[in-house]
Amino acid sequence: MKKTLFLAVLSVIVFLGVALAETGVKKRRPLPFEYGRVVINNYSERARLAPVVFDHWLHRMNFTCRVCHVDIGFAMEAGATDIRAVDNMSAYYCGTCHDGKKAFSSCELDFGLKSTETCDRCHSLGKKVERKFDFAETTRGLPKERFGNGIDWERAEDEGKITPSDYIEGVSIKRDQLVVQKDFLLDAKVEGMPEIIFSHKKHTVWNGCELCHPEIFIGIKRGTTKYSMVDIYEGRFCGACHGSVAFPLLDCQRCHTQKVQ
Amino acid sequence: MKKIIFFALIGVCGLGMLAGSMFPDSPGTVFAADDWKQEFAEVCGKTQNAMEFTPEELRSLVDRCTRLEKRLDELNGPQGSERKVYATRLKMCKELYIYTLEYREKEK
Amino acid sequence: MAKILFAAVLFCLLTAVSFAGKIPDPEELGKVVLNNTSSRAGMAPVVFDHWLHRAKFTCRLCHVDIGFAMQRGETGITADFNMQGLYCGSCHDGKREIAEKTIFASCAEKATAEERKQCARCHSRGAEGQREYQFDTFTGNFPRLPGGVSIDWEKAEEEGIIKLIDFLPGISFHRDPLKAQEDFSIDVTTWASDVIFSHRKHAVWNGCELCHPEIFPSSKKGTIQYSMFQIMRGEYCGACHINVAFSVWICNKCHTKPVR
Repeated sequence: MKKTLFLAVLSVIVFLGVALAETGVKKRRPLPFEYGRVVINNYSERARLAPVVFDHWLHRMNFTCRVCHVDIGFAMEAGATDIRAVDNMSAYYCGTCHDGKKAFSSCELDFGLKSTETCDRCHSLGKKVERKFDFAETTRGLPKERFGNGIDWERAEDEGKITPSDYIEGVSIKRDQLVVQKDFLLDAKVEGMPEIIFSHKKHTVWNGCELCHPEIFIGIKRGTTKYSMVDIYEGRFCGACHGSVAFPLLDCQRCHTQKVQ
Repeated sequence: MKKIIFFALIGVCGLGMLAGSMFPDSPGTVFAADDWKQEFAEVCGKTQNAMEFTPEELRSLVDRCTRLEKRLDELNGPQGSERKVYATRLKMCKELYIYTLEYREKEK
Repeated sequence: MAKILFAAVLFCLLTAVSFAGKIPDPEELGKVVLNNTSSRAGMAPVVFDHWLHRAKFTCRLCHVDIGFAMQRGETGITADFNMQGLYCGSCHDGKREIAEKTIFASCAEKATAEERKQCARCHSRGAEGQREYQFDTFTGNFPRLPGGVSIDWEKAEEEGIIKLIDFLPGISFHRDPLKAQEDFSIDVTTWASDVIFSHRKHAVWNGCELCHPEIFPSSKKGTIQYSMFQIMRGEYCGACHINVAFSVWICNKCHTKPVR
C-alpha cells in the first residue's frame, strides 16, 4: 500500500514537474530590431534607474566587434563586464565614446536632480523610450538576409554601405595589417549534413585574434577540442556570438555550406 | 682641485648612464607614470602578427606582459576603472601570446 | 503487476483530466484565441483558425520565415507590429497578392464603423459567423483519416487538392535544401509499439529550423529523453500534435512499428 501510494505521489509530482518545464517548445523569436539586445543590470536598479537595454545593431553598423570587445574591454556576457557609472564618467567602457563629445554623455553623479531624459536613452527597460535611430529607417538600404537582424552585415560592408571603424583615438593601438590565417574544413557529426568551411578571414576582419583565442577557442591544434551542436546551442564556442548577436544558429546553411562529396 | 673632482664626478655619471643604457630591460625596470601605456601599446599592438613570431620572441612578449601586470597592480586610477580595463586588455593580449607560443612549441 | 496497472490507470486519468481528452472536431482543431492586447484595446480577442492557412501555406512559412511562436500568446503580436509589416502584417497589408487575390489589411490606427467590420474578420471571438470561407464547404472534398472525421492533410497534398506555398517574396530567402535525414524508429519503453519517425514527411512542410534546435535541441537521436507526459503538455511532438497536426489521441498514427 505504501509503495503504490509513493508511486502515485511520484507520478503526480513528475507530471506537474514537466508541466512547468520550458524545453521542447517553440518560443517567440526576437524581431529584427530586438536581436542582439542585451539587458545590463549590475547596479542600475540599486541606483533606482531602469536596467540598461543595449541593442547591438546600431553600434555594429559603426564599429568592429574588436574595438568594443578588445580595445575597450567589454565582456561578451551580460553583466560580466561590471560597468559602473563611475567607470563611464572616467571615460572607460561606454564612457569611452559617450563622453558628451564623441557621443551623448553617459552617467552623471547628480542625475537625480535633473531630468532623466538622457539617462533614459540607455536605462530604458520597461519604459517607453523613443529611440533616436529607428531600426527600419536606419537599415533601409542594407542588403537583407533571414533571421537575426535580418541584415547581411558582411555584404553591407563589402558593398560599402556600412564602414565599421576599427580604431578609437586614445584607446586603440596603432597596428599593422593583420596576417590572416587559412580557412579550413570542419566535419559535421551528423551524417548527411554539409560540412562547414570556417573562414578565418571573415572572422578576423571584425574580431582580430584575441577575441576568440584562447578564451572561446582554446584548442591549439584543430581537432583537439571536441564540441558538438549541443555545446554551441548552449552558448559555447561558435555559440558565444552566433547565439545572440551574429547570425543565429537557426540558419543552418550559412555555416553548413559544403555538400559532402 | 675642485675642478678635477667636479669633472670626475660628471665623468662617472656619464659612464654610469652609458652602462645603464646597455641594459634597457633589466628585471627591475620601473615605469614612469605613463610610460607603461607606451609599453602596453608596443607589446599588445603586435597581436595581429602573433603567428609570425618565433618562440623566443613570443616568450619575451609574455614576460613583458607579466611585468606590465605587476605595474598595473600598483595603479590606482579613479576608482580603479583604469586598472579594471587595462587588466582585461592585458590579459587578452598575454593569453593570446601564450596560446600562440604553445602552438609554436607543439608544432616542432 | 498491480503496481503497473495502477500506474497505467493513473497516467490515463491524469492526462484525461488535463485535456478532457478526445479527438478534437476537425473544425476546432488548430483554433487559437489570441488576446495579448485586444481586450485592452476594446476589441474582441482574435480567433485564428489554422485550417485555412494550413490549406494554403507550409508550416515553415509562418513559423520560420515570418517567425510566429508556437504557444498561444507567446509571439506577442500587436497592432503596431502588424502595421509595420511583421507577423500577420507580412501578408495582411492590403497589398500582397497571393493566388491572384489581394490580402486584406490587418490593423489600422483609426477605423470608420464600416472599416471596423474588417477588424471583425479576425477579432471575432463571440461572433464567429462572419467568415469568408466556411470550413464545411472549403474542406468538403478533402480526404479523411481512418475514422472519417479528421482531415488527412498529407493525402490532400498528394492528391493535388491543396498546393502549399513555401515562399513569400520579401520575407523568405532561398536556401539550398538540406538532405532530409533517414526515417528512424524511436524505442518506446512502455507497452505501446515503437514509433517510426519520418523526417521526410515532417521536413517537407517544416524544413529543419521549425523543430531544430528549439523543439528538439539535439540533432543526435537519443540525446534528449522525453515521454508521453511531456508530449501531452505540448512539448516536443506535442508542440504540433496536440493543437494543430493530427491529434496524439490517434495512437496508431505514430506507434506503427509492428510488434514482433
